[in-house]
Amino acid sequence: MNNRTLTHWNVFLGETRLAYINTKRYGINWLVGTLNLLLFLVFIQLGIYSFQNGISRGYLGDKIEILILGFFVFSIIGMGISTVSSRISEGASTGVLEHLMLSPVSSRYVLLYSTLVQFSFGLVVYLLLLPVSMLICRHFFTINLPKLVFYAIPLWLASCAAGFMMGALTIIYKKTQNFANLMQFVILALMVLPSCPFSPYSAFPISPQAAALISAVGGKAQIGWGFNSFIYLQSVAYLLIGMKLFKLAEEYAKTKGILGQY
Amino acid sequence: MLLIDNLSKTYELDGEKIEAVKPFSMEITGGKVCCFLGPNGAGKTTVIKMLCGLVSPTSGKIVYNGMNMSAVRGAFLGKTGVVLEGARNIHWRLTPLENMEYFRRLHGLGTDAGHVSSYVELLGLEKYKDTECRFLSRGNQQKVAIACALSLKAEVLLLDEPTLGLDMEISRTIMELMRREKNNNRIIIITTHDAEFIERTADVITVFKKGRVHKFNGPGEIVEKYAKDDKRFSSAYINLVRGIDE
Repeated sequence: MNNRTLTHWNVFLGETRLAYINTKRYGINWLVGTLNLLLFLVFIQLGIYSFQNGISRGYLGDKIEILILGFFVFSIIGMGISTVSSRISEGASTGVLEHLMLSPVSSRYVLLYSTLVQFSFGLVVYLLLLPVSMLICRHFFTINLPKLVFYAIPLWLASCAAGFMMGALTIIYKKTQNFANLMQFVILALMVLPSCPFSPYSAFPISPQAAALISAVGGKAQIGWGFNSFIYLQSVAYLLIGMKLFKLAEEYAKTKGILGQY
Repeated sequence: MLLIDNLSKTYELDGEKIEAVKPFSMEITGGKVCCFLGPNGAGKTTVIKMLCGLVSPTSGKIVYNGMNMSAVRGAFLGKTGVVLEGARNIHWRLTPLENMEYFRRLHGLGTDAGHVSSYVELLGLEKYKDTECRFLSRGNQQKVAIACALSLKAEVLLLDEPTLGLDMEISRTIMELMRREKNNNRIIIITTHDAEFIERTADVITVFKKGRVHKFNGPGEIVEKYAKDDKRFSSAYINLVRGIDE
């Protein structure tokens, strides 16, 4: 490993360890979050079956899978968008925000690694809870795991892009909690846009990645390499734009001298 | 060697330009403690923040060992330990040891248990090494912040009021540490109002007043030039500052 790679690797390990310590030390928060997720997965299945009224169990099963995937997609997007801003707000209140800017790899990469750790933890928890909820509800279905991960990655990258854009606003305007409420509806709108296969809506961030995941994993649709390449390239392009905007916001705050003021 | 060349900072507030630091130049060599003095709002913290890149200068450049900092910022930060003013340096939810490990990682370094433990011992933090920092006193939190900066084995140390609000015993421990660290050929820049700290540790003194900078070779020079009947450093320093006012 060369020096630069080793530096980035150590920063990533630091973020992983920080997330692990916070999870372990504040286990009750983690437990409540996990329980929430489990209850949601259970109730979504039990709830739909309670309204079956003559509709075939097979048809309902398909709907449940789509709903569960939809919730997974919503969670990944929410996590990708909120981690950067919440890390900035937390850093500002606990005081270590400026130290993130003092890392030799730059704050953008520290925040990206922090989001990656959250995404990995979230993915593992989700995949562990899904079979538990199936057991509880006695409703079993299969999910193509490699496919899920394949489509979750560009979705996470595109969500991080939006997260960096929100982060840029947080650095300059400080109080962006109100945006977070609005973001829920923006996420839902992006999720339901018909952007897979190609349509004008495919140009939006997050939308084609979310649609591809739901179609490919939930609808078992075969998506060609053309669209697959597009969602990867588009998510990376948006991520680079998001990181660039974040860098510009950071430089603006440094010029104005408002970086550490909250 | 750290070279500051024509560095200045002007802020704009409600359309009015405020010159926080007027253009100044200086050189700081390794193995010396440079203390920045001056009244509140004189621009000391702004200079520390410009040195570590948290504030962008309006003009001038910072050159470290022949390299312009704006071009090699990442490399420079990898060799720099910073303690900012107030309680803004550590994760409250981590223990001292975890904080030191985290900040080493944040600087791209691996863990070094022996090295980290040596600073825990030197700063008398063994008893608290597994206690979350939010439960520590302000003094011990400051010790942790300093331990984090020192454990990076940084070539440059920038400390903004490291002894502010600390009792004499802790201040003296930090003084001892600074003396020890400068013998490792580190460049140490400290802003402080602590007269005893300056008398015991400063090799070079830079006084900031009204955005201007006045340089001295240690507290002795200030006493020699500005002391009247009272030969204490603090009195000489007050005479100096009043002189600048006039």
